[in-house]
Amino acid sequence: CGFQLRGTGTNEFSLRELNLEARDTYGETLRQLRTLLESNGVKINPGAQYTFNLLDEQTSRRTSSYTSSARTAEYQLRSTITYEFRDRNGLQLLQDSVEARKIQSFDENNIIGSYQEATLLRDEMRRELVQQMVAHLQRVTPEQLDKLHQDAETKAQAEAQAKEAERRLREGTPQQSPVEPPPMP
Amino acid sequence: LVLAAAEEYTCKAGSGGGWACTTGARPKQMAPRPSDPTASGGDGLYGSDITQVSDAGGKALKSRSEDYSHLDWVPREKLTAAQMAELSPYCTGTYVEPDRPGRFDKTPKSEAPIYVSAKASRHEQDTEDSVLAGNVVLRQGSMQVEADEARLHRLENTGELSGNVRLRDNDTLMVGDRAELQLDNGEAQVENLEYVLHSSRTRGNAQYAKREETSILRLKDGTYTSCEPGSNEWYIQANNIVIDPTEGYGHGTNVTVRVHEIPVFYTPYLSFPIDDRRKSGFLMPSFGSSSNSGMTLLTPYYFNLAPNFDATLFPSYMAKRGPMMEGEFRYLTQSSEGQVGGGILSDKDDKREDQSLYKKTRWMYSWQHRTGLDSRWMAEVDYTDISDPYYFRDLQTNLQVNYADQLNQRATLTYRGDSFTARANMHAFERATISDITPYDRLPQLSLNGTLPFQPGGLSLSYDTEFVKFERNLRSGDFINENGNSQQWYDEQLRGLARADGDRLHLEPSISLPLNWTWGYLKPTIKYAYTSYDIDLDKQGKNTIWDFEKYKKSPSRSLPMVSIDSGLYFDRQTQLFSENYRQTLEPRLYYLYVPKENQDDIPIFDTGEYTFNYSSLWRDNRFSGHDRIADANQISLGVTSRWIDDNGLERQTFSIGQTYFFRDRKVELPGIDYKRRDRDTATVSPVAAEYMYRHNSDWRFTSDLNWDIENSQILSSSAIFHYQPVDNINKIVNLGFRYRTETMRFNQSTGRWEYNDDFGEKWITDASGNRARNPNYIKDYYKIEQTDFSTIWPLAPHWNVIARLQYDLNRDRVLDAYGGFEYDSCCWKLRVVNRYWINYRDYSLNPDSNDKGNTGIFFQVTLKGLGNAIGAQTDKFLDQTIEGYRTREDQAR
Repeated sequence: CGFQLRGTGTNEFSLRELNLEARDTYGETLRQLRTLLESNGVKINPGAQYTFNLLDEQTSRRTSSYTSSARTAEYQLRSTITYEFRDRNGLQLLQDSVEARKIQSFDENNIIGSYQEATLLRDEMRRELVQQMVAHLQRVTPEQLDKLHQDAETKAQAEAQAKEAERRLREGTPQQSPVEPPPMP
Repeated sequence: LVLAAAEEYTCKAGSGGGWACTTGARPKQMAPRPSDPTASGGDGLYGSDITQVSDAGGKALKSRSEDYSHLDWVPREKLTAAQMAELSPYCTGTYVEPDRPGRFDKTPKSEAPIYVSAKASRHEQDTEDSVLAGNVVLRQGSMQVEADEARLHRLENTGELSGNVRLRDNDTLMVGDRAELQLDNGEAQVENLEYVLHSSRTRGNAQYAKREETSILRLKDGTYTSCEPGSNEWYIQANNIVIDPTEGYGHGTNVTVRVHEIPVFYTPYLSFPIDDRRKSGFLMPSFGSSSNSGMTLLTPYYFNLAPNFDATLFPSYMAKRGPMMEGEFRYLTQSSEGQVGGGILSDKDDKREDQSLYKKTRWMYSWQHRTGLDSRWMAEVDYTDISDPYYFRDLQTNLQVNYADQLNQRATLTYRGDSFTARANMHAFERATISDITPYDRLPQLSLNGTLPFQPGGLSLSYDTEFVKFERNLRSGDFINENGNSQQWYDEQLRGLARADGDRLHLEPSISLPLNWTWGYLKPTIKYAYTSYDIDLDKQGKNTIWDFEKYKKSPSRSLPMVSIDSGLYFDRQTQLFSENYRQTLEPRLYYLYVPKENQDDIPIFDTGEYTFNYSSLWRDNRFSGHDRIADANQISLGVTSRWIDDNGLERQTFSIGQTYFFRDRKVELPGIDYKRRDRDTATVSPVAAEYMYRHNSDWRFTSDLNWDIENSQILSSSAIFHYQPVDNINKIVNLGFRYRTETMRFNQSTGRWEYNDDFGEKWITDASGNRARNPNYIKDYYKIEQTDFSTIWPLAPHWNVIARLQYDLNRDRVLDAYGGFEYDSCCWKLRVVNRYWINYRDYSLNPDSNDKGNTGIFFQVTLKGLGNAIGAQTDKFLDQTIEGYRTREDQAR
């Protein structure tokens, strides 16, 4: 029905080289992402032309259902990662985010048991998020980034030019006279 | 009096050091602006009949210009797209500062030359006075003053201006009838004026105003509002108002807040922000009323200590409880972030006086800290302590404290190596409820997990090691409730090994051979898990050992675990709703073998049984923690299919799978008999399925289903729909359904593990020895079957409806229901919400008699530009109950 084993078709990574960054420099997410990219043949190099930067990792939870005595029976866990592509000059090329959700059941009489379950779920969610980011990276081509890079540069240049033009216009505008009695007619 | 001819002079510094003046040459028009305010605000309109600004009742003066262009007002239709984008949908225009020469001049006033132009002028030689008339424009540095007439005294360096006086500096415009000016430092006094602060979109008026050298405005008998010029929906009126644009705040004395001229609130002093900058001062006070605390007044004070430090004090007064003080300090540096806070109250309310653990003086403090994000060492602290377990049941906090049934008291130090993670964790709990078993503290928990950096022959060698000391102080004796009746603490009722403390060492080395190809993977793993315990059991525990468990001082357990995980990836290009997708098909097969070992001599410290779902098919243990290692000889089969769009985003995902068992699962939590549990003797697991569909970012649907085919029974299921279109995040719809049955839990009243959904035994033996129905029996008490619907939806321009209904189908009752509306205008917002909800109060040990219905009406008024006036707690519950609410608020204009 049209399915092909991956790798026999055209679903290879087209990015061969990338720099990875995150605020949490030694965090687990960055480590897993690096490992997974490397195993897919992407070279992680700080000198690479483009940087994949994990801007923000957020976790939150909200009560999803209640027990019969109106206490939390289940939590909905949510993890999101916001990331961006940057070029060497630090210009942002594109920004996106991935999200994962899971339900955790909560037993108020077995707090650390529930705690352990939440830890495991958070680990599974992190793996899921890393997978989603890699799936995105797989679709990004160097040509696409080059184009975004050029667009960003053009835009930055245009802004600089507009600023410069405004400054010149301002300087070229004649000032009004200092306090000086005008000559009598 | 001789007037010069009506000519305009434009002078420039000439080449010879003098002035080169030309007549008649108008300055070139600068950056484009939709309307020229001088055109309509010019001569003629200002006549002899002066309207006093105080007569306008909060509106701007129409006599100065019909369309408010004298205030730089530009109606919506004349704005550029960029200006429009920043405007709230209900605003009809905004103030646009026109460009002018010197607008960005940074020269101090004392050094800047004064430039003058006028239609006519006369100089009086003897007094050194200049008299100017007709479109007089004075400019000094960034300041510009326009008037019909001006008299400049050169000796005193002062000036008097009259008729259509318009004084502007960066981001400020004052329009008045008369002004006095100090020419060397920019000091000015304007009478009968209106003013505009462009970037904060606010305006006001005053009998007279003094503009200081430092550009601070001091208004006498003035007003301040963010409402549009023709509107007086709200404004504040005060004897004195000080506006400091450089610091970004204003304050007033003898302040009345008026709505359509009607006074609604008085305060002797009020401080308010005029832009987004943080500034020390009083924040808007808030009122509230609850049956619990009575009328409550809160007057927060904010300290802006540094760009990365701040503090807030929350003094409040509760009619039923007395004065309370809370405070919080926050900090943020390159590598650290955190906050410290606390609260104290001497409680007048004595409802709990006879109850165990009651304290009159109630306090709480908390510290959250994280440091080392950019280093290999990372330290975290999450520590909260309270005076009594009822603190958070009775009192609301304004601090950002994570509170739940048990409060964390945790400090963790982690070293993140390239191939390993070492962690030292101290984790205790403070009890914030009386009806639960006291949880174990982990003092300490040490762990070292990692993988060897080299891979001999492609083998990956990993290790998980952990040492934990579990301890807790069980309560003893009786709990006394508010009526003075006593009941044994649940801790006291614990029997057998459940009373144990102990040390645990867990070692788990593993060898795996990960084989990865673009088209699939194969990962055989052999693990060896060794666990040893050193258990202390008190006398009461030893005397009450259950028949299903054994006490041993130092039990140990060693088990090999073999697993093979494998998967394939198939891809194809496909279409869905006429869009191109890459569809994947990912079959997965997982084999797991773990021999059975009797673990009846091991108590439960940190272990529970996971709820069954698709993820649990691929786990090597049915239990969390290390106190039980499940026996297994099973194969799990599953398949996932994803639809990935051209941007690499998963739009649709579907997974389904099942486990095939080759033998019964005999390892259970204490007291559970596998023979009596169908799930552990069946040859196949329930079918687990998951589904997710995301339509752009506008809506999302997720669902899961875990279905026991053999017994035609649904174990758990859920369906969640969330709608919030990106181009109108104002609209929110959430729909949810959750069903769950037979979850394993520890029942504190029986001291045993249970998965039965009913409360109590159906049949009991009565005093005379006959079997009878138990009157306390509740069928399906622990089953969950709940729906949740919430929405914020625009009904008409300005009007949004806010509603939620969370309904418990299982017990046929409403858990939380509210309905109300939101009125949103350009300068204020009102919410009225009527709510009924059930919450948990700790008055008794019986969990079934602690829930109580509440009703309340919540008002929330936001005067845009002044902050939340009333009802900040409304914001809190809306955020907790409506998904998407926070996003909506954050992007609201």
